[in-house]
Amino acid sequence: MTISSVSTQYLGTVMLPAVTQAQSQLTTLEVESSTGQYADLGLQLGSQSGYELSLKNEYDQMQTLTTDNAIATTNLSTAQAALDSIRSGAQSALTSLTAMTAVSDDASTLQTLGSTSLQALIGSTNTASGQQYVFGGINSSAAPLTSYFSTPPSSAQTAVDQAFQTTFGFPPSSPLASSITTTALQSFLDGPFAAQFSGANWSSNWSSASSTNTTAEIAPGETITTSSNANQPGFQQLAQAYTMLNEFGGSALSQSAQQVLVTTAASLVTQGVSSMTTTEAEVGASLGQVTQANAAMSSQMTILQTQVGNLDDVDANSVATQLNTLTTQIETAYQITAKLQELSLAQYLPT
Amino acid sequence: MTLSSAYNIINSAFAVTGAQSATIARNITNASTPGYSREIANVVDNPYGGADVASITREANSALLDQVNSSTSESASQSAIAAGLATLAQTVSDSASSTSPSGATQNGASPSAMLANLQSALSTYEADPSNESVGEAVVSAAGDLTASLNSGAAAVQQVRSQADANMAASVATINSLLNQFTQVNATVVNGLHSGADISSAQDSEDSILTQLSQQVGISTTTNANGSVSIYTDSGVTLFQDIPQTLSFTPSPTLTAGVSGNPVTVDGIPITGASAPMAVQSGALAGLAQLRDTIAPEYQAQLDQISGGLVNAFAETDQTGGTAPALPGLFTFPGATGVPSTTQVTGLSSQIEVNPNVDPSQGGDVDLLQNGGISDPGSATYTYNTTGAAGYTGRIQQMVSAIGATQSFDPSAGLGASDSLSDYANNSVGWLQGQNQQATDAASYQSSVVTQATSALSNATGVNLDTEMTNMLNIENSYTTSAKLLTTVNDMFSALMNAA
Amino acid sequence: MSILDTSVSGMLANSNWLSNISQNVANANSTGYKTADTQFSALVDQSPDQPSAGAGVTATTTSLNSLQGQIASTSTTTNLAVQGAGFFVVEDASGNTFLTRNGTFVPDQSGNLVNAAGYYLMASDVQGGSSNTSVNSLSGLQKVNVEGAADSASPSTTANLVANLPSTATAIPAANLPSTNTNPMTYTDETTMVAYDDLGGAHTLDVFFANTGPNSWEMDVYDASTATPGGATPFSSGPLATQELTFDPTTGALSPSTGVTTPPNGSPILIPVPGGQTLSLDLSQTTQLATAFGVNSATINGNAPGSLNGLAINASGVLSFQYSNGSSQNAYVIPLANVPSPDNLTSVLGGAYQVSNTSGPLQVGNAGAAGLGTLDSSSLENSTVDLATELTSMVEAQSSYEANSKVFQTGSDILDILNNLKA
Repeated sequence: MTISSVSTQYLGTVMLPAVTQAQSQLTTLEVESSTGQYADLGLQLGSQSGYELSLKNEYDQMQTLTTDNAIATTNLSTAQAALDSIRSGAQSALTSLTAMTAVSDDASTLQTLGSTSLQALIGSTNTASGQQYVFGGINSSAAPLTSYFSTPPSSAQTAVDQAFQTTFGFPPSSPLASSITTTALQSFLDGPFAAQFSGANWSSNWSSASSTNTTAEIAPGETITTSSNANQPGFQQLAQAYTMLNEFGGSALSQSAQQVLVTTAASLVTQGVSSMTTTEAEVGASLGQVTQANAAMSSQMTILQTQVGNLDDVDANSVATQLNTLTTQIETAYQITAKLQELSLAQYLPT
Repeated sequence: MTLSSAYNIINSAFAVTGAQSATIARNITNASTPGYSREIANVVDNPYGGADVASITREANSALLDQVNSSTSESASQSAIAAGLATLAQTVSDSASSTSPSGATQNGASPSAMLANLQSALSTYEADPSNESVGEAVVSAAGDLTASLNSGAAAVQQVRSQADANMAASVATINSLLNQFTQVNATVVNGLHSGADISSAQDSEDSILTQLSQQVGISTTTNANGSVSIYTDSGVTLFQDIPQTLSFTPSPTLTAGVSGNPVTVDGIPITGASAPMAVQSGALAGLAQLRDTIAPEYQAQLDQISGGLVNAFAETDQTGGTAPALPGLFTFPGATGVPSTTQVTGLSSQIEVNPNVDPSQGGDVDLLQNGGISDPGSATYTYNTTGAAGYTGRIQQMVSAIGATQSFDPSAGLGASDSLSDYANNSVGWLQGQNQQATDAASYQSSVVTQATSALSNATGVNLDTEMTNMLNIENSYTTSAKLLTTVNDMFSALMNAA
Repeated sequence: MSILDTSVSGMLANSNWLSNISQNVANANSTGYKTADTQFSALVDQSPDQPSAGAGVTATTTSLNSLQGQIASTSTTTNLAVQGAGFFVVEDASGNTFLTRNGTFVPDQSGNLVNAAGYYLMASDVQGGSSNTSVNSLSGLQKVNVEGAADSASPSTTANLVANLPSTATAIPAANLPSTNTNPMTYTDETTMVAYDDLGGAHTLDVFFANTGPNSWEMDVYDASTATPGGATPFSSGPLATQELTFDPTTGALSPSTGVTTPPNGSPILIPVPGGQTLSLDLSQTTQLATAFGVNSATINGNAPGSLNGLAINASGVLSFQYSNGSSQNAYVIPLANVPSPDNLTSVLGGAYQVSNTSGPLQVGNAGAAGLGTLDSSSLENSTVDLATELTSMVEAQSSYEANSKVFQTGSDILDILNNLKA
């Protein structure tokens, strides 16, 4: 603009807006240099604030899930270890059973084998991680398998004895057991006895686990099952085998009937082992999924952090340079103001 | 021309230099007075001897003055809007993280941040559903979210009430300025008529017009007799010989959905979206826009978020029957069902955590996991039919509901269908965007005002050095006239002595 | 002996001159004073059949009434000075008419303008209409009285509104037009004008413009005082005036409406001001262009009552009263009078003159007319005396008187010798 005249007021105040602006910029730069971020993020980002918030949301979510996945990992690892011990226990029982088929007069050995194996099975199945029973399914607050060896006798034991009594007319401890034929025993074991370990009998006398497994979200949008449950066929088969050994192994069975018992138990244990292997594999797969999810989230979080940093951070070098420039600017403005004040005709008139 | 007439002429010379000195003295005294225009004594030749001060004119530039006034109006309206938006933006500000430079952790207390915290708490609850303390953390996060929505609504109400009060103050200022203008205008008209010196009255006129333009944008016309008529920038008459009175009824409380009263001139409304002749600039226009358009839009967004929350966490009939959906974790006093997207006005100040699930109000945290918050003990709304301790189905539903697409009322200024968390983020983005725009506009306009004022000051202001130079000139004239007087006197004395 | 008579006449003439000079010097600062000039002429003794013999000198005094004195400025509005020929017509306390150039008029306690010498200024009264003075006569002239001027108010009769209506406006349905006086009133734009009634009361008129279609508008004028308190509509009485306006689509100017004969293009519009006259509103310069509504100028005559604020006297002698409401009214016309021979006017006390047999008849006219000068307000005419000239003349007169007295001395000495011859 061309100025043909300049007023004294203008001369006195011309540097003022520049100085005021520089001073306010100075305070902003001080905040930025100490925090490394823009002083007023919302003002700086404007309508991009929504986008920045969504990035931070994602990061938060992933961090929470990563922390929570530790719980799932613990549960699954505990389950895996328990399954492993059950399976190895079953395999050693199988070995013992196979060795016993050729030897007679093993009544007490059989019974001992059955009772110890059953106790071990129940103990392992009732493993808890913290407050949760890992084989309870969603019913994680109750122990999955009721204790078989209790005084008074558990309902499971009573039911088995009752079934025997109903079929043969006398309890398993009766010496009349020697009269049981192999066919009768076989049909008993495959029929009424097996019925005790499935369906309503299993859930009322044996298992208080839920058949529904717990699920958890391990990554945004990814939900997996995080437990197994004691209603898997493996548990039923092993429980059946061990119970029959425990209950009838010490009975006064005939040699051939005992052989039937052993054979049936052995085949059940074999089935149980393979079922347990399958279950163990499932649990292992879930564990692997969790580990993978954690790794993916971790790399995603690094990317998100970089993106947020791009939006929020200020370049420390440029801030320092700007600070220097502004300070110099303010000093120069002060000097010019002082000089302008001195420029007055009154100073040069002879008094 | 005789020697006696020389006395008369010298007399007039003294009178003229006296008047000129007085004018210069007035200029120098008012050199720093804002709004003062320098005065010039116009000296003309008197054919019958000497010189006369014909008039004292005032350096004025009406084009620059109009520019100053219009930029003042724009600046005032923008700063009014920016101030209100800054207050609102504080409720959603994301403070800088002090732990890490690029801390991606959520900070601030915006509804969006609180919603993210709720989502995290729910995820943790999903991983460990039998843990009572984790459940309580969810309830407390929900409480933080409702508190954030309530305080956001309270901030909107406060901004609107403050704008309303400021409008009342502005109207009072305008009325008093118009009254002052009446007197000054009459002085100017009379002075022009009788030839009196009206420079200071005209300075007052200009200063009143500039003060008026801060409150409301104006345009002026000057009549033949010198009387000035003032109109708003939309053409409504404010002053024409007599002042028009602005009326405004303030509303002390402005809750959601209650619109404030418009400012009227002679019965004609000049603020408000439906006014046919609404003012375009000035503090009044900015405050009205803040009170009637901008703040209510944010209120509507908060209400939509609240409605979306109630809907997302509502419980439906689990028995396969036709019982209606009822509010679950989030509810509001007197709720009989879930509100639709058009029924949520004012919901953000009423939304609360359902007392049935809040342990501090005697509620049961387990209802979160099992369902039945809306109607504890009733089988209709119970989700965990087996009562299993590890049941996470309901929690998973709640987590996915936060990210599921919902429909919103598009009149709130954001999209019509979005997920709840995206909608909340967009709302923050909208508010910060408006804040940024308004702040930039306000600072730009204020620099325009400074420029225009400087230009006007340069054109009409006093330069002390020029006045000093003129003063030296006049001093010389005076000295010369005095010398002339002495000479003529000497001549007369010679004549007396000769006779 | 004639020597004595002649020298005595010489001394007498010179002492006349000296007395004129002293009169001039004494009145060097009197306003409107005209220099008294002394002319000498020789006296001759004329007997029949005898050659003429010198009989001395006679001095005649002429007042140089047609000289223009210097004009000096004062701060009193009623101080007047005549630039050019002409005299003020004044009257003394007993009602006799005189002429004067002394314009030191100020109001006395009854408001009459009287100058420092006690003469009252005469002028013709034009308040309330034309004057009843006739040219070239002093009849009908009255003393100028500047007090007790009544408060004046005048009703509004004409107005001019230059505005722009936006060409981009949307039409308003006929049921909601301002002319229907429904609540709420729908209009496109509105402005107000202040009109004055017969008693000077101000009435705000609301002027509404409503677009009725492309290039076609309706204008309604309502009295704002009939509006509903707190809102504009509905008004308690109908519109004061309604008018259809049509604009030319190519120029944007007002054009004749079809089917409307009076007024031809919608302007001027006659609006009855409540309690006042019919206001003729001229809209002919209003345009319809593609820009926002704005009022470029709105002028209306009439004013509220105001009190007397001051006077003004212009160069033609018109004295006008100025009121606090900004209006001014002509009150008096101050005439000037002249005679064919102003130097022959008889001087009377206080710088005034009387018409004499030799001055010629009085001619009265308005200032600025042919042969008469103009009036200056806030000015006074200085005396035409130049002290330097008078002092010089005084020296001359003194030496002349001395010379004459020397001649007398010589004559008397000669007579002495003659008388002493006998002894």
